[in-house]
Amino acid sequence: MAVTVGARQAPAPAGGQSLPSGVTALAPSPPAGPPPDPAAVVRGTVLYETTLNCAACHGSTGRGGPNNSPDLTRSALAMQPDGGRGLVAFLRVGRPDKGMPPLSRPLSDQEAADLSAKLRSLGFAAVPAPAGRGAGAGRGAPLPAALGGQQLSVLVGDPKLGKRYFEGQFYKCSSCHSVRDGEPSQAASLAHIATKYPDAKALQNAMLINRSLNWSPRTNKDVTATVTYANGRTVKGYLTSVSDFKVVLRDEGGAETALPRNDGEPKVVLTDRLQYHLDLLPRYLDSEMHDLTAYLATLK
Amino acid sequence: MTFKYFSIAAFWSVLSLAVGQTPSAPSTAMPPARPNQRVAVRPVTAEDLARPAGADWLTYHGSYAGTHFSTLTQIDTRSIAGLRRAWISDTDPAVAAAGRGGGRGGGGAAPAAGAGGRANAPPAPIAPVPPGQTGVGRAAGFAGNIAAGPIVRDGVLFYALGPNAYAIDGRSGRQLWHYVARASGGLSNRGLAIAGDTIFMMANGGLTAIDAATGEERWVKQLDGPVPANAPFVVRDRVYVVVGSDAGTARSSIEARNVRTGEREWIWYTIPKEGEFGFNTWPTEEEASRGQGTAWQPPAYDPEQNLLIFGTGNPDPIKDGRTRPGDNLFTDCTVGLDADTGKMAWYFQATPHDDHDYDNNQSMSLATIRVNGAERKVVTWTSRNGYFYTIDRTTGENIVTSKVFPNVNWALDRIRLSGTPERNENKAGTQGGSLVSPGSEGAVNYPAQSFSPQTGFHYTNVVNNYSPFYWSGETFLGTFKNSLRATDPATGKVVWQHEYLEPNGINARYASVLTTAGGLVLTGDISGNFVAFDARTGRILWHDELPEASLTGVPVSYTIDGAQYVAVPSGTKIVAYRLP
Repeated sequence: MAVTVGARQAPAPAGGQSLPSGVTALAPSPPAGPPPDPAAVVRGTVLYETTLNCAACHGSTGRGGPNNSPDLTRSALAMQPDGGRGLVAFLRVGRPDKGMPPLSRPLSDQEAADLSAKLRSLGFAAVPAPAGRGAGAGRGAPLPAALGGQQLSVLVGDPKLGKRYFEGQFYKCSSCHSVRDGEPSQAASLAHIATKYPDAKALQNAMLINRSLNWSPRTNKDVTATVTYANGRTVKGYLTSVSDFKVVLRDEGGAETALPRNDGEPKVVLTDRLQYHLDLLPRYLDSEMHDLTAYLATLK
Repeated sequence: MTFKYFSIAAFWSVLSLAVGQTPSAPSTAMPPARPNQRVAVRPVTAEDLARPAGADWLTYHGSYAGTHFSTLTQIDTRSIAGLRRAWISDTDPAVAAAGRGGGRGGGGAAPAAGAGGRANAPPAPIAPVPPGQTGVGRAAGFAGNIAAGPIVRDGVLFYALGPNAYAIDGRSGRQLWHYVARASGGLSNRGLAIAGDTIFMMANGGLTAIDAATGEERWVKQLDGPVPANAPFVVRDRVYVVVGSDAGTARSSIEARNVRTGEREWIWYTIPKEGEFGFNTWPTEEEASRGQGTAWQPPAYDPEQNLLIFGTGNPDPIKDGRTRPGDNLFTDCTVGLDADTGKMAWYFQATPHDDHDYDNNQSMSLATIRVNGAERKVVTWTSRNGYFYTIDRTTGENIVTSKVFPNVNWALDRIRLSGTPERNENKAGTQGGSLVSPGSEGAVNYPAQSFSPQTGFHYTNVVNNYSPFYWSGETFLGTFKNSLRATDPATGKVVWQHEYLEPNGINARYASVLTTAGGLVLTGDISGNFVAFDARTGRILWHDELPEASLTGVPVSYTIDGAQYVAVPSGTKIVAYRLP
C-alpha cells in the first residue's frame, strides 16, 4: 500500500492525485469544509463497515492497518468535501497494483455522498484531542496532543556533513551515484532527486532501500540469478522466484524458464542490484542517515 | 498483531462482490448449502486434554505443553519419501466477515436455523459467496485464510475460517457441518477449542459455544470489550479467553469462564491498577488504563503447578511510548497465572517499554531440559523483538536471553541481570527517523513455534529485517530473507538453520511449525511448498507444492484406524497427507 507520509498540515494538492513514488497527497487535519451530516454518516457506516468492507483493510477508524493500508483520514482524496465525486472516480479504477481493486459497479450519487460523509467523519474524529480531556466510559483517555509529532519534518540532519559522508569512504555513495546533470552515473543519477521526492521522509526511505514490504523480484530486473550445474553448465537470467525445488528465470523479453532443483543442485547465486544498500543497513548511525538525507534534500 | 495473508485478497474479493449488495437485501446468489450432518465423536474429557498429541489433536498447540509436537511415528524420516496427498477439503464456500466485534442486537441469540438444513443461516449483513468461486485472492466473500489449525477428535477435523466453523471428515475432507457466526473478532480467526461435546469459538462479539455433533450454536457469552479471535483454551471446567485490541485505548484482560455456562470466574488485567504490583511502571492511571497488552495467542498449561503460561502483547499507544514512561508491566511479558484464581505467580518481560510493536505473543513451549548438568523445567520461545528466551517456568527466572540476529539493535548489548534486554532509548521512533531491527513485523510473529522433546531443540521460522521508525509512524521496507532455525534452549545457540534464497522472505515467517516423534520438522516455505526437514540435521527430506496457497495456518497430525495423517491449512483449504 502507499505509505502516507509527511506533514499533517501540508496543503493538499488539488484533486488528491498520487505523487511520485506512491506518496499519497495529504489532507489537512481536521478536514476542510463543514462536519458531515450525521444521518449520512450512519448510512455511510454501513457501506464502510459492511457492504464495501473498507474497514477490513483501513480499519474501523480509517487510520489504516498494520499492513500499510493507507490512513484515509490523511488522504486528500478521501477527505475532500466534494460529496464523494472524487471517490467515485477513484473507486472506478482502484489501485490494483497496491491490492485495491476497482468496484464492480459504480457507486450511486447517494452512496458516494454517504461514503464521503463517513470518511470525513473519521477525519474529524482523527484530530488529536487536547491533552488532559477526561476518559469516556470504559475507555482510556484520548491521546495527548504531544503525540502530534507528525507535523514535524524529518529533515533534522546537517547537509554539509551529509555531503561529506556521501563522498567519503564509509558510505561511498558517490562511487556509484552522480549528483549533477550530464555526468556519467553507474547507479541512478541523483541529480534533482529532491524534486523527484519532495517529501523528505520518502526520500530517506528510498535511500535506505527503495522497496516496500511486498516487493518481489518477479516484477523488476533487480535480481540476477546464476544457476550452475555440477557439470559446469551455467544459466543466467533475471530472477522471478527461487525455492529449494525450483528456480524461475526470465530473459530480457520476459520469457520464463523454470529449472528444477534438488538437494542444493543446481547451485543458485543471486546478484541484487541494491545489495550495497542492504549491506549498509546495519552500518548506519541514525544521525548520519539524517545528515545524508539532509544533503540529498538539497539536490533539487 | 498483524493481519497479513488476507489483506490484499480481502480487499479484492470483498469489494468486488459486496458492492452489489445492500444490507437489507440478502442475495439470491448463495449456492445451496449442503445439509449439516450429525458428527459422531466421543466427548473430550479433562484427561484427554491433558495428554500429549497423538491420535487426536485437541488444542491449538496440540497439547498443554504448547509445543506443536506430535507423538506419532508412522510418518518418519524414512517413510516420508512415500507421503502422498490424501485429500483437499471440500466445503461450502466461506462466508465473509460482516464487520468487527459483532454482538449487535444484544444478547447474542442465534438466528433460527435457515432453510436447506443450514444450522445458522447468515443474516443479511454478511456478504454471501457466489457459486463457482474459490481461491485465495479470487474468492468473492473471501473470509481470510485459515490462520490456525484444526482440532481433531476421532477422525473429525473442526476448524475456523473468518466467521465460519467447519467440521470435516478426516478421511475424505468432506464437509460434515458448516456454522456461520454473525461476526468474527477481526478478520482472521485463530482457532477453536473443544471440551466435552462443545466447540468454542471467539465470534459473535464473545465466546460462542457450538454443538460439536450438529454445528448448532448453543450460546454466546458477550464479552466486555473487543474480542480477538485467538483460540480459546480449556482446562477442566474453565475456558480461558482474552479481551483486548491491538492499537486500542483500554486495559486488556484474560478471563476464566465456566465451560458450561460461559459465566466469568476470574479476570486478570494485563496492566495493574493503582496500588497493585507493577503499577509503578506506568506514569498515571490514565496511561495504564489505555495500555492494552493483549494476549493474542492461547497459553500453555503446566499441570504440575496449575499455571497458565501466557504471552502478552504490546503497550499502547503503539510504536510511540512518549506518554507512558516506564517498563509498562505486564505488556510484552510471559506470565504464569494460577488456573483456578488468576493470581500471577511470576512474570518475565521480553520487551520493556515497547515502542516497536513487539508483541510477545508466541507459542510458549514447555520443556524439561538439562542446563549446566541440572534438570530444569522451562518455557522457551523466540520473541517478536528478535530475542530467544528460556526461563524457568516454576519461578520466571531467566536462563537464556540471546539475539536471534547479531544486528538486532533496539536494545543495548548489556542485558539486565533479570535477563530482560535494556532498551536503547535512541532506537525509539524520532522526528528524523530511527533505523531499527527488527521492524514491527518482527523476527517472528504469532505463528506456531515448536519444541521437540525427541531432539531437545526449539524450531521456528525467523526473518531478519529493518524498519525506520518516525514519530509519524513506521515505514516497512522490502527484501528480507528468512530461515528455519533449530535452537538449543539450554544455550540459545543455533544448532542448524536452513536459509531460503527467495529475497522477499519477510512473509515466510508466517509459516507455523510442527514437529513429530518421527524425527520430522514440517513447515511451509514462501514459495508455496509444504516441506519436511530432518529435525536433527535440517536436511530436506520431502516436499509438496501446495495447490492453492502457501501454508497459512497450523499444521497438525492425527490418526484414523492406525493411519497417520498430516493436515495442512493452505489458504481457504485443508490439504491432508498420508502414506499409501
